[in-house]
Amino acid sequence: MTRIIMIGGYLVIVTAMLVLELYARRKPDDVAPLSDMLADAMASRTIRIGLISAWWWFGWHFFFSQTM
Amino acid sequence: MGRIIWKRSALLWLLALAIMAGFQWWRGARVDGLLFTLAVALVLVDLVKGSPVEPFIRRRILPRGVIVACAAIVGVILTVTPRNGWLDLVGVLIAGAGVMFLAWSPQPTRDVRPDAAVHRSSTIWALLAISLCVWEALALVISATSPLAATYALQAFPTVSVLLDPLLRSGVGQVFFVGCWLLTGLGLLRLWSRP
Repeated sequence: MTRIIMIGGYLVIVTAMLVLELYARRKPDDVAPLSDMLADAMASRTIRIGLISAWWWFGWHFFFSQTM
Repeated sequence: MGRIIWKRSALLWLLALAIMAGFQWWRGARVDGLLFTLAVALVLVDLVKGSPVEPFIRRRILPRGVIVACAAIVGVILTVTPRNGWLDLVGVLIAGAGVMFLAWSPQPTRDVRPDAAVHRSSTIWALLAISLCVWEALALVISATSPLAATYALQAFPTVSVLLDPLLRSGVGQVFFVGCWLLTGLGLLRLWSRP
């Protein structure tokens, strides 16, 4: 039961992300699409370092280091 | 050296990276902890001293075709060679170094959306990303502190890694996730909007 609740939580959050992006693409002047928001955020070097570090860590974590 | 400007967004990112570093140390992933600690240090040095490596990599622009070819080579390395092998480490390091160097110089922003829309989007995305991190952290903390056997506890309170690991062990899954990861990296470079 706990497994279903945990997986359900992940699915709710991922679904919310998809709904947000779909809404943003329909009404971009209301909520900016992810690509436009990131383009704006990446103007800051600090945010670039943060985003690239997080992105790179996913590759490190899932493709090289032992995840389990 | 000019006056340091501590923007709220920079401080929040610094905090997020510091929390990630602390969390990795807590769960015993020392290398991961070290990587995030280095990211924190990089941001701090950047904020306090200005970019120490900027003079060496400023305006480093490669043709789009070269970047795509490099990404394709890394993709082949990550999918063809055995997972968790040293060649995977080489591929991940090449990709990380490449994206970090190429994305270092500020890209001109397109500024095509109203500020309010961008702010709303970044706020909601941040909340969703934090929710995902908190949910994942909850699963890890409960499974790590549960009196149940470790394997059973991880299955009862699965982290994203536990759920994705079986997919990554299959060839198709590995190709899919490597592809997604590399495309995200190319997206961070804003490859498609480059001249």
